[in-house]
Amino acid sequence: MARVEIENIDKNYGAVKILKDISISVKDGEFLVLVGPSGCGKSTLLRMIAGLENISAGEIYIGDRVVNNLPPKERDVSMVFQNYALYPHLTVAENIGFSLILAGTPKAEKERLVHDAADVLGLSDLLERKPKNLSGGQRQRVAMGRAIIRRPKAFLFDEPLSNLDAKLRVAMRAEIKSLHERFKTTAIYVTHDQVEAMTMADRIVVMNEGRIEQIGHPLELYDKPVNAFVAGFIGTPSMNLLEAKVDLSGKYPMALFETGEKLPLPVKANLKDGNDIIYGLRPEYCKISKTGHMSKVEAIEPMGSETHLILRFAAQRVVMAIHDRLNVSPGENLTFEPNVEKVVIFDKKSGHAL
Amino acid sequence: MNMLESRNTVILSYFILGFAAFTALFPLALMLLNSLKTVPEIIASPLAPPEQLVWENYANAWKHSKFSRTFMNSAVLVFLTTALVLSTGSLTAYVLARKKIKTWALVTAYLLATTTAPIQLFLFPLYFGFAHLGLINNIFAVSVVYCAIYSPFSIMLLRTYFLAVPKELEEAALVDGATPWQVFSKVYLPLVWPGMLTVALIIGMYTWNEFLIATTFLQNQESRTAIVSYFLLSGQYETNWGELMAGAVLVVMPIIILFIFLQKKFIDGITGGSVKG
Amino acid sequence: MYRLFILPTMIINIAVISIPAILTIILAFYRWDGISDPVFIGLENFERLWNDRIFWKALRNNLIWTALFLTFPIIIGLVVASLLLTVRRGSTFFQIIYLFPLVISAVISARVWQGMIYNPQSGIVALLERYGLDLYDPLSRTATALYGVAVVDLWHWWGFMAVIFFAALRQVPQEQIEAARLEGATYFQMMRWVLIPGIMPTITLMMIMTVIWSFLVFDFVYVMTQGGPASSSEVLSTMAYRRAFYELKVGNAAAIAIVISLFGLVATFFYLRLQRGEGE
Ligand SMILES: Nc1ncnc2c1ncn2[C@@H]1O[C@H](COP(=O)(O)OP(=O)(O)OP(=O)(O)O)[C@@H](O)[C@H]1O
Ligand SMILES: [Mg+2]
Repeated sequence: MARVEIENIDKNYGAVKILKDISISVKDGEFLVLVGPSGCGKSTLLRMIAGLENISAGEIYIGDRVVNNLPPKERDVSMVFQNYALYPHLTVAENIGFSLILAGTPKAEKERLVHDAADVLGLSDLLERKPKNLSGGQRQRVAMGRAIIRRPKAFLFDEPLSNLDAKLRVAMRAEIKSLHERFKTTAIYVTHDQVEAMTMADRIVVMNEGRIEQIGHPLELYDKPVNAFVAGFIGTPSMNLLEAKVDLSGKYPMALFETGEKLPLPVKANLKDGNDIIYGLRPEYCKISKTGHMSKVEAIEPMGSETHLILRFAAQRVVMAIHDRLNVSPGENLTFEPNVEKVVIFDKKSGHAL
Repeated sequence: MNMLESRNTVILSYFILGFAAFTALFPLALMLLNSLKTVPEIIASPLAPPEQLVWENYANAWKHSKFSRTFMNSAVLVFLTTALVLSTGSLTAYVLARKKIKTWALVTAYLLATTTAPIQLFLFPLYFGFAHLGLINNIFAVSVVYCAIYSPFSIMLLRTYFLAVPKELEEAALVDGATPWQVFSKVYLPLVWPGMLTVALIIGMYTWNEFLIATTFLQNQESRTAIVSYFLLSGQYETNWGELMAGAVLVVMPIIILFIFLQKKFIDGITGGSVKG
Repeated sequence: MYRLFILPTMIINIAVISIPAILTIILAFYRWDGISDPVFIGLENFERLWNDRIFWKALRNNLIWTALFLTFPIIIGLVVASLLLTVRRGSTFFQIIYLFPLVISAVISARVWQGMIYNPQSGIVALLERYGLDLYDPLSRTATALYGVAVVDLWHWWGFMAVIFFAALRQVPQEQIEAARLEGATYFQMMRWVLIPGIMPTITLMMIMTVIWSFLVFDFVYVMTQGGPASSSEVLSTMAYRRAFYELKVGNAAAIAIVISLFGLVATFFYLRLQRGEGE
């Protein structure tokens, strides 16, 4: 177990900059999740930590050692790949014990360790099978087994659950998390699924276009996104981001929309009259109210536990999540009320939270 | 892929790969070098550079091997064989790839089996049969023999290109009332021509280089191929190695030039069908 | 309709290969000089072969040839292919160079080696001799003639194996290789546990084809030694050719052709099974 320190990392492919000045410090035993849209450089960063990609600039520490120039095998990390990278010609036991085979571990010792790992993962009955005779979830577990058997300094996961169906994904999520509780090994976990990120992470790193947008605890990112990108990325359904102008002419600060409608703004010192802003409103911080603002219902999406209403307000789309079942149809009018205290405001130009 | 290999591993790898490349090129370098030397110079040292470039070696090789005639023969043979293989082979490849006949598996197995049949198994009756029919020294007849020998390989290679064409294209054409011939010529041929080109290159190379059939069936001066003519020149009692190397360079040149310009297609053709993914 | 499509291929194939092949099988039981009428002699051609010293010599040479080609090109090919996979940069360039010997006609390659390397007056052998090494033209001695020819064919051939294996190795999932690197695999462990198992179907196919091709070898032997000196480098195919066209013992040649085919048939049987196993 060890901390992992990433300092001012760059990655270039020729002239293309894939990662720009990335710094993250992962604490010993922490479960850190890297999340971001496809192509933002998550896998690349993870592979640089593993030693599978060169580092263009900056330094990576594992423990107290700079590992920039160490080959993968000397970094003592293990990695779980998206497609598991199991060896089709080896049995489950051999796949799990692969690192021990390579290290020439004595047979008895090897068997003991493989059985221990298989026990933990519930694979004891499958040890003699070949990977092609396993289900997706079982393969996933074998890949996990191969990673844990060596007790490495850190686990690296690259979208390990994305090949599983939705239900299995939820189950495996909990299983990985409980394995982490048990071993307390530093883990860096890449995903583009923000639900996975929210539920598993001690801390989340949100990345976009090769940059870090924000690092923080899941709820911190949810409640206090530093910019509109993070606000829109974290949470489902995602936050409504409405374009408006600040209007300080009245008694209370208001957001003025192009069509003339107004919504209340929280009181903030740095609001300037007439500034272009983005009005951030989470769907669940909205309620239906007789005295609220007029909108038109465009669609209704019943999810069972809650209902999503897609409204048109001030010529923009507003999603609202409510827990009651409502008897409305598309085309009808509806009045709603935002919870002003929960509204987040971003500067339109920079995207930063005000 | 960008894998962090230790410097030493990479240097050692390049060293071994470089040595292998040297081994592959060394005899060819000797061929080129000595093609421009006189015999006494070659005997003095095959490695020494020529004192002055003896271009006459090339002129003599050209003259003595009757290359002006035999190159033409080889070219005609290459053209006929390639045309025959492509025209008959593409039709069969299409039928087998799309399993158009019930016996496709049997036909495929038959063709695969004939690729492994030794030439000697059919050479003798074929020769005496051709002799009986007066087909010895007939370039067209030999191209038919080549077509039979090279077709199975070509069909297997072409088949993979036909398989890569989405079936929906054919189905759409059939729904619009196309005949099988129209589907083949209008839908498939325009899409598989890169495969045809690859096959043409490989078959062209085989035909140009072929020796056993050519030396058996094309015996007189008027019909001989360049390779056979070179073989006869080099078998003469008194050997001028400078001239022989010049002749070798001449015979090799067309293939090498094509190979260098179309290497990717060559490699596709050479590896095609042999690699089980 | 579709049967018409395969008709040209089948007519040519059957006329050139199948019918003459059947005739060869029949001829093996006749005495025939290619001109007069064939005479039925039963198994006499085969009995003759059984008692023919040269036949056994040729068969042995084919087996030696098979053993040489099952080991050297396959090992060299695997090593070179794995190194190409390691360095990546320049792999196309190296592949082209390795294929040069393959695209050059056997006749040319043979003559270049004979004249520029083996030749005791003009070759590298002569040059090294002058520097005091005890060398000679391997083709001129009975003990070494076969190996002298085999070296040239190996030179001509190994690049093909390297390119085939490299193409196969590139299809081994990258993650499997990376996972092994993370687990600390050395070069030999990578070969033993990941790369060779990953391309086993290709290796098997190449080994089967090598057996078939080793019994077909003709050009290099015929051009370089004509099977000599004293039949020391004779192989079955050159022997059959000589019997048919030099000695006009076509029946005898046909019997040899059948022996060659039997080896091919066994290998073909495995080949077809492998094709079927591929699940197409
Ligand atoms: N070898 C390469 N050469 C050039 N660009 C590359 C190379 N490998 C990756 N890239 C680019 O680097 C960027 C980051 O890729 P990366 O695989 O890290 O994304 P990711 O965040 O993991 O995305 P995903 O969620 O789709 O896996 C992408 O834009 C990709 O196109
Ligand atoms: Mg990725």
